[in-house]
This record gives sequence, C-alpha cells and structure tokens, in this order.
Amino acid sequence: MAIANLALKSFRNRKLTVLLTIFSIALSVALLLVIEKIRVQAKDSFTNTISGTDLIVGGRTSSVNLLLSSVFQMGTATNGISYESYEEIINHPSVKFSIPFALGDSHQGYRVLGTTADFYQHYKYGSKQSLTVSSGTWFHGDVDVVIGDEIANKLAYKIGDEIIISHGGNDSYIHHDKQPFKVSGILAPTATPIDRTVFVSLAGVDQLHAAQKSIAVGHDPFLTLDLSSLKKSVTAIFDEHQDHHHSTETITGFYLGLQQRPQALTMMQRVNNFADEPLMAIMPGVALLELWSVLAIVEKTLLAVSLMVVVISLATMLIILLTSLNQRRREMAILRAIGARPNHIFGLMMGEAMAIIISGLVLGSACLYAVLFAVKPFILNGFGIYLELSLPTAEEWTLLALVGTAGLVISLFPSMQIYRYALSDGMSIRS
Amino acid sequence: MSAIIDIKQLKYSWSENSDFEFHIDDFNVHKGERLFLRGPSGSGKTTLLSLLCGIISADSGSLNILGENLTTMKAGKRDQFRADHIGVIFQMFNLIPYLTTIENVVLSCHFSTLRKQRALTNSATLETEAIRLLAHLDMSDENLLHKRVNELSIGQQQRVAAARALMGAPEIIVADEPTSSLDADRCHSFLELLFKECEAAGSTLIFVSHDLRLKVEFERSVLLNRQSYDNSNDKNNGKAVVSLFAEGGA
Repeated sequence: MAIANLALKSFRNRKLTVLLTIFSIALSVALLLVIEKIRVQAKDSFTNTISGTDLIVGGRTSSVNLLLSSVFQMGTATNGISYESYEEIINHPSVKFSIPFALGDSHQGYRVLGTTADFYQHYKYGSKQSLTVSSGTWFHGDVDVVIGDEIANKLAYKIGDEIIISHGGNDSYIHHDKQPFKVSGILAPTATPIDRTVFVSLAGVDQLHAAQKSIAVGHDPFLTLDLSSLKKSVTAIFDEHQDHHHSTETITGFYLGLQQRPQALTMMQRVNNFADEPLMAIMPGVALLELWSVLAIVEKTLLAVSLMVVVISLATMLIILLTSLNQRRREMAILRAIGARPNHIFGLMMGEAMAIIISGLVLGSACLYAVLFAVKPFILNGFGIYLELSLPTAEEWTLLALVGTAGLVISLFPSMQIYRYALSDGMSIRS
Repeated sequence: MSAIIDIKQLKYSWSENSDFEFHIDDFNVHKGERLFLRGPSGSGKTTLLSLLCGIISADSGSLNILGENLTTMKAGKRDQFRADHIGVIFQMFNLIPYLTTIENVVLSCHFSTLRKQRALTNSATLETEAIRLLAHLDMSDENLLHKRVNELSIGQQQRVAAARALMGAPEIIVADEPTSSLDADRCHSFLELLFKECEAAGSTLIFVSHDLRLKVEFERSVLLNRQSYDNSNDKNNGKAVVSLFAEGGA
C-alpha cells in the first residue's frame, strides 16, 4: 500500500520521462498489434479472394501465373482455350457450374473481363458471398458493361455513362472508340479484385475486336460495318491476337464449380491430360495459399520490424530506469533508514516498471483501436482489405502478454541492482 | 537507570581478509540518555550506526537493544525492529524530494504499525501529529507544510528530518552529523529543539559528530578511535571505551 503510494508520487515527480516511456511503449505495442491485425486480415482477405470455385482452368502456364491472371487480373493472360474444348470439358456429370472468361482489354488501367451471366450467378468470394449490384443490373446486351465499386468511385461513373475500352494493357493507346459501351450496373464493394474489374459480355468483346480487325486490314472505318460478316474474314487473314485471345472462338479460361469437392482431383487430371490442347487446372484455395507463402517473407519482415520497435521501446524503459537508479539510491537509503526492507525497495522498482508497462499496453491497445478506426476506410479503399474492429484475438493477447513479460524480465535488471545497492549501502547515503 | 543498549564483546569485520576489525568490549547506553559519539573519519562511526540500526549484523558478541539481541536476529526482523524503535537523522538528503513536508514526516509510520499507533495516541490523525511535531520544531508555517521539501532551506529540511525521526516516539534517535550543514546559530537552536523533543518523547539520543564544540551540550561523550589491539585499555573522558582495532596493520 505504502509502496504503491510512494511509487505514484515518485511518478508524479518524474512525469515527463515516465509519460514519454509509457508513450513509446504504447506506440510500439499499437504498431505491433496493427501489423498483426493487418497481417492476419490481409491473409484472410487474400485467401478468400475467390471461394466456391473448385477449379480454375486456363492455358498451360505456372499455377501462380494462372491464378494472378484469372483472379487478380495481373500479369499476362495465358494462351487461349478454344470454345470447343471448353464445352467438351464442362460437359461432364460432375460439373455444377462453369464461368468462361476472356481477358486482354482494359479501361483506364482497369482490366476488362469478358464473361457471361454465369459469372454474376455463380462467382463467390469471401465466405461464399455472391456478387450483388449496388445499382443497375448485370449486363444483358452486348454493349452493356458492369463495373466494380472502386472503378465507379474513382472514375465517378454512374448508370448510363458511356465508356471506351482500350486494346491490351494499361498503357495501350489503341482505343476501341468506335465501340462505346454503356454502364448498366455497378457492383457492391467486395474488397477483392472484382472491385477493379470491368465486366462485359463475351459477345461484346468479340464485336469490339471484329471492328478493330477490320480497321487493321484496311477497311474504311467510315463505312458502316457489317460486323458479323467481317469477323469471320478478318480472323482468318490477320490474327493480331496471338498474345491474348478473346473471341468466342477462344476464351482465356474458365472457373469450374463441381458437384462435390473431392471430384476436383479427378477433374484436374482430366483437364491436365486433355488431348486437344495443353490446358491446366488449379485449385484456387491451394494456389492462393501457395502465392501467400511467397508473400510470407513480407509478412514476417513486417512482424520482425514491429518486434524490433517493441524491443527498442523496452530498451528505452530500461535506460530510463537505470539512469534514475543513481538519483534514487539516496531515496532508497532514506527508505531503508525508516525500516524498508530490501524487498520493499525491490518491489518499489518492479512496481514502477510494471505500472509503466501496463499503462503502455493499455494505452497502446487503445491507440490501436483509434488508429484502426481512423485508417479503416483508407485501408479498404487503398488495399481492398476490410479491417474488422473486433476484440483482441488469442494471438494478439499472446503478443500483449509477451511484451508485458519481456518488460518485466527487463526491469528485473535495475530492480536487482537497486536491491544490491540497498544491501550494500545500508544507511550510508551515496549518490 | 536501565541500559537501553547493551553491547558485549561485539566483533565485526567487513570481509574475511579485512585489515580492520570493529571491536567493542563493553558499552552501555541508558534510557533517556543524550550521548555524544565522536570520532575521526574512518574510525568506524558508520559501522557502529549500521550495527545499532540493524542494517548489518555483527560476527560475534551481543548487541542488546530494548532487551533484544540484534546479533541473532534475522535481517527482516532487524529491519522491522529499526522501523519500530529507531528514528534516524542523516547529515543531509534526509527527505524524499517529491513528497511534501507532512508526507515526509508521516512516512516513518508506513513501515511500522507500532509507531503509527503511538502517533495516534497523541493526535487524531497522523497528519495532525506530524503538524504538532513540526510546530514544536518551529515549522508551524502553513505554507511550509504542503511545500515540496526541496523548496525548503537546509535548516528547515533538517528540522523536518528530526520530526520524521521523532514521529511515533521511537525509543532511540540516531543522528549522524545532522548539524554539519548548519551554521553555528542554527546548529545550536536545532540541538535545543532536538533535545526538547527527545525528552518529550522519552527517546534516547545517540548523536554522532566530529564537531568538538557540541560536546559540552551532551551528558556523556564517547570517542570512537582506531587503535592497535594492545592499547585496548586506553580511556577517553573517563567514560566507556568504544574502540576499533587494527589487525596486522600499523
């Protein structure tokens, strides 16, 4: 009791240093927890980018590349699959649904994904959530597009706006400006790459390129085009789409949903050994984890850095306790003289350290929630990670306990030192 | 008069190989006595005070205070004994700098329920008892009571230290050169106040100083001297002998 009272008053006397120490511990703890939270939720968010799909099928490449191009719309699209192969593969009793897609175009840096109504109906993300439109409807006609939430926000699009799709990747300067599309729907935010994707019908993509091809082979662009007749002739003579295929003759790949999960292995075999074309199938869950393990080094580095920060702040506390030691040696001799035992002196020092650490932990956790609350919208917009403001998880409690224990172990050092002083100095006042 | 402190054949050395051994054959202090303990630096004053206060324990012999032998007592019990029965005043830096005058005085009751009870027989609360004692020591100014002690003058600080030592009327007051930082006038008035309060509390005063001028104010004076072992019968002022003997050295 008396000791706690003394410790409190001693704190009041050294307000600034004590507050700074608490603050530094609090900040480091908050940083540690934020990084831990982001780490866990990024992983969750990442591995749940696509769910409910058992297999992704595409032209033969590496599994990570297929995943990147089909789910994250990054990297280069793989070689196409002929529509006949697609139909042959999905014509199988174990197939519950399939979603074909064609990649290769972009709009203002956002990838365009040609697909069918199956996408809207069957594609699932997170914990098997379906896509919903926040306004408008999924496309019906060939010139309708549906855009992700981020695109709608960033480019300020609304239903009925006309957009121009560019040929190829981000830096393309070939615009299909004769073929404006009309926004028919905007998807609700998903915190997945869906938010950054423009959806058009496969037929829409097809038309787009038919026009493109006709110009490339020398047709007068000012003539009214008979697209359907042109398409066939042009594809035959001039195939400029060797690097990325997107017509209904070829698709880039497709998602497969099966009746039962275990059938995925058999189906994978079937796809990988498909005789007509070199194809490959990946299980998205497995591939996502595989890709995440590549990113794990980043995750571990982050954690290591935040642990370092904790170590530094604990070292600061140690320094502050140690420098106060000489000044407090005098005080300890006085306490000894009025009957304090060396144990009391030890307790006083440990009590102070404990108070600093606990205040640091509490303040740090409070800071964390304040920071999370503040950055939540930015994280969601910038990284597509939805931060959950929940109570600390078991791992976070463990981290907190770990920091607390480490702090107490460290403060044993000055406490032992002052205990030794208390024994050796006795009542002689040294400073 | 009964002996409040009774020392017989007390031996203490700081370490096994030490040249010096602290040795007291026979020494008594009576209840209510005012003892002046004098000795040059290095003569073992601090050692004697540490032994009396139970900070260190003698190697052999007996040190009886209030009928209890400190030599055989465990360290924790000696600390409690000190808290209960001994008030200490240092040369300087007597006070916890971040506490107020009153908080410093009350502090002596934190480690001793005995002294707390005694203080409460005089006054209703510990604070009023502290104020009462401080008033007796010419520290009645309301402003001084709630000031942080590092804002007080040295003379005031020593009086606060005296009040803390006297709080709860311990049987023995040990003062280690408490006047060395005071000028002659203040020194004299400090002693007067200290004597008066010791008498009021019924406390025995052991006053350590190398200042010969103060000797006349005390009933008895003892010289602590480093001597070789064979001169052990050397007397000082015709009073009891307290000696520190050098072994093996010159």
